[in-house]
Amino acid sequence: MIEKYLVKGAEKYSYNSPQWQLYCDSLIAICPNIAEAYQLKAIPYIKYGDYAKAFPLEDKAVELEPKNYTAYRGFLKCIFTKDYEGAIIDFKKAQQLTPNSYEMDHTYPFYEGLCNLELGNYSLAEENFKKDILIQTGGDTAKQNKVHFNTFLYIGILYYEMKDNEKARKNLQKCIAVYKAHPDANYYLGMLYKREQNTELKNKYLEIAKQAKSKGYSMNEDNLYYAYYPHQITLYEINTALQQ
Amino acid sequence: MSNRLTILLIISAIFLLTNQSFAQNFVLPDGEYMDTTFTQNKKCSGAYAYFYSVGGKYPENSASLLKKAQTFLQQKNEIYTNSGYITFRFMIDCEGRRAPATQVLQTDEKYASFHFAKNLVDELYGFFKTLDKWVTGKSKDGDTYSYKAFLTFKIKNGKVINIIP
Repeated sequence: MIEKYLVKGAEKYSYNSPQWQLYCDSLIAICPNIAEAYQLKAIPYIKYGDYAKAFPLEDKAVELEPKNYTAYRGFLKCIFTKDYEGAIIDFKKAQQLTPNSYEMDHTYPFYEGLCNLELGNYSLAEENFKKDILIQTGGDTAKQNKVHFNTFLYIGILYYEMKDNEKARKNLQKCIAVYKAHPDANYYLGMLYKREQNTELKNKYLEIAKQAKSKGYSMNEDNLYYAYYPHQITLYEINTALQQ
Repeated sequence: MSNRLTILLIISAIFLLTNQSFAQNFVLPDGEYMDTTFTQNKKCSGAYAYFYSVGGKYPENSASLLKKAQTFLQQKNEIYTNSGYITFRFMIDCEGRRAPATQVLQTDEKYASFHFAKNLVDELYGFFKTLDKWVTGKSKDGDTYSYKAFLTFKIKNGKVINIIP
């Protein structure tokens, strides 16, 4: 049924096409217990801001297959609707259901860290990111090179917000060591030097961020097209900072 | 007689006040609209994309927009209640101009359909209309497109606390 109605049905069309909905609805009518049909049906709604249509479908998918869809719903709440409290609840539940797994390239504690960062729960966010690194490295400190550069970015941003300049600098530089043209890491490093009133280094890193952004470099997350990630910057923020 | 008139006036006032939060705009078969006027830019083809296919997110991040929205609302100095999401959906033409037609969607914080106070929706719409940096939608091969976009205000206890996307 999945093969017929989804793989060779809905997925042959754009998710904004009527056929997409038709295939999903047909499968739901025939087999109302296939979670994937609800999740796929919700895609165009979540991406175009129709949350009243999207979330009952996501909830149904979670109800039918909690192990497969709880973390995904948490991801949507974290990145798409900025419902940080709701996302944390989902990721905590997902951690119980499928411990130490990943959603969209990142561990569950990574997303919890983003949520707590945005909620201003900095000590909780710090714990989340430590857990994130622990999962990524398996607890082996020699495997620091396995850590995703955006983990270092967000730890850097967290310490920047906590006004711990040294830890912020150390982590932002770790991010830049992996991804030299990371616009956001260079921006926050520039802002850190601004705080330290080091105009030369402030301008240096903001200019790197500006050049990188102008050339199309980004945080390199799959869903940047749909929503700004927490603390993500644009050319506007870089230019504003350069003028200050 | 004058007593009856007074009672009638009081009842009418209560009715109007309590109904304020359920006031609506233009209710069409496909949803509720703040504005229904739409004129096709003759320089654009009828084809359209979605903002995410043509780099059409507003070119300021959520925090920058939030600051501007909060400043705008502070000038009004009104107090509101309730939590959830207020979303405006609209079209940007192939020259980067926003068409007036604007759909409005509202949910509570659990994503169930809901209506906020009409004045809050109107104020947010007033702010939304001040945004004038919409980008021209371009595909990877450089073709320009009109595109569908949205802007959502996340509301907590009557205050805007985030802006999506």
